[in-house]
Amino acid sequence: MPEEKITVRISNNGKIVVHVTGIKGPSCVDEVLKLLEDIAYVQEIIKTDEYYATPHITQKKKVEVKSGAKI
Amino acid sequence: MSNITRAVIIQSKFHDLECVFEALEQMGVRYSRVGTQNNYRVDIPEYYLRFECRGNTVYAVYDTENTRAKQFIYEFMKVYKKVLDEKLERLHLEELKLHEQQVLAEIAKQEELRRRAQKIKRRRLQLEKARKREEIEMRREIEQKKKIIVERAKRLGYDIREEVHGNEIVLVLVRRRQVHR
Repeated sequence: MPEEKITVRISNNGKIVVHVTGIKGPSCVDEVLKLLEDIAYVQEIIKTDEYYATPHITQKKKVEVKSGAKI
Repeated sequence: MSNITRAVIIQSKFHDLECVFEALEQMGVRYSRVGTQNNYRVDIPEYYLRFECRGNTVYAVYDTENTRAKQFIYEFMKVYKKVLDEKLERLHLEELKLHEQQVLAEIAKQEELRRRAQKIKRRRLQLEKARKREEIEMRREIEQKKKIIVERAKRLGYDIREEVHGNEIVLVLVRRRQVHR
């Protein structure tokens, strides 16, 4: 059974880096946004080659926690 | 025959020109000055003597047999000494006054420096306190956001593993996807 994996790294200065593997296409971004919605400000989304590949997709997101910030 | 003799050794050199002239003025003696700026003489005809001035040194020149001249020098010595002592005392007091002013200025300066140092320290402590509070609030904020992420991940069907790597919290979210053929 394929594995969908999201690794969320939160630094003590509030920086968040999210790595996504195993989720197809743009839905990997949606998945991250579902997790971080309303709680962090997304600074950038880096799409790797895997983002455009099927069936396995890798995506890296880097966000920073800001109180009350909207995505 | 017996006697009692009182005598006094009189000075023949005086080392402060200014005091010599002040003493002469105080004694109300009439004198005349002859010569150049650095080498001249002061004639005092009334007492048959003269002062010869070379630089700042004044030599009394008179006939040693002349009692009137010797008596004058004796009186002059007393006035000269008084003038010099008064001048010395005045300068000493002036020096003390200046020293006192210097000390007061130094205290004022030290006080000003101490006040500035206190002000800087107060501001530094204020900023350190602010930073500390912000760090605590950020930790609280991170903890709160982490809980939200964990709750959302659970709702989305992920298994969650939490790790701490140094100053970093790591959430590993894993979900097994069913493959439909």
